[in-house]
Amino acid sequence: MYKGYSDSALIQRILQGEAPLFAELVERYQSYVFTLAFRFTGNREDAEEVAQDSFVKAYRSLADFRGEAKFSTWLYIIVRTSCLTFLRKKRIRTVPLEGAPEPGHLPRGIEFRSRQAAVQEAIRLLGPEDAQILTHFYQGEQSLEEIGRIMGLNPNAVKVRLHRARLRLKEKMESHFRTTIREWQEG
Amino acid sequence: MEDRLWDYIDGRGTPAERAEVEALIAANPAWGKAFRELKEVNIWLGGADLEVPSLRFTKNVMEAVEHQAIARPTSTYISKHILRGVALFFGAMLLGALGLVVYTWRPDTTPAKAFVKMPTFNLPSYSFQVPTYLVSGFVLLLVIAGFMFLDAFLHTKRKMS
Repeated sequence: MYKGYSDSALIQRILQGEAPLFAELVERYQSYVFTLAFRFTGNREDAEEVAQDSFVKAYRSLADFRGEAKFSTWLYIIVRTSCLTFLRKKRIRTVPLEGAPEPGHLPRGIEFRSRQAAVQEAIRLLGPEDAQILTHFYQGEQSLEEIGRIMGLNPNAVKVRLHRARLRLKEKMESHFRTTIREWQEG
Repeated sequence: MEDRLWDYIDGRGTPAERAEVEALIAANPAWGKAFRELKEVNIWLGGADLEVPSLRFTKNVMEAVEHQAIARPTSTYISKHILRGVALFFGAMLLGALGLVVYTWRPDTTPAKAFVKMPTFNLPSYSFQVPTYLVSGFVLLLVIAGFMFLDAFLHTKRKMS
């Protein structure tokens, strides 16, 4: 029913008392927010907790959204802050389980049903900052200026980090998915 | 080379720069190979999907915000006039202190001379005592440098976290 409404129009109505409309904003951005949180936390349960917390913070401070930037940019700044706070509070210690791959490594011979699954796995092998900047640029289609606003960097620094993240992803793909890549190229 | 190729793939740069890169890709085998590899990475990334939360996610969020109230905008309880007033007060204090120092400073009566005996160098035919203003200026520079390093250290620490 509210699919055609812009984010600003929805926010105005929420501030006027139509709180249930916030669900529409959640529906629009939940995948992206969850993906960003997942890039930081590395597991789904923590990512859902952080994503949920981010939306609650966004709801509480909705009156401070002045519309100078896009709502998505404003929201992603909250997500990033929540992720950093979460990581500081919770010292995550990954202990490799028997048979499970160590962080950053995959056993050889893993097959992926699709190219997308392989790329997703390679992104998961990157550090959170690299994964986040790639997500903002490719899945979020944010400009360098918008990414800079989210991450607190100037656009030139974003450009440099983006290039480095792409290079690291290429290295991960070549070291872990060489066979898969060859199949794509031949296929 | 890679920076220029990425700018080209991302659609950045002036028409002249893009034409130059296109010519290099066409004429130079190394550029051509690098372009194909980077383009492939771009295609991989462009096809990556977003992760999807649980089906209950929206419901969980709405249950959490049900008992929350939207806070008043910060502009209603943080007045810019008060912030400007505080900044002006501290600025006036600093200027006043600086003015007092300039007004009362005399080369022979600086406190350092009263409490610290400046070192005297006695060379065969020349005797030189370190002026107090040099010592004061050097200490001031050290303090400023110390604050700058502390700021850079804290900034780096914040970035790394």
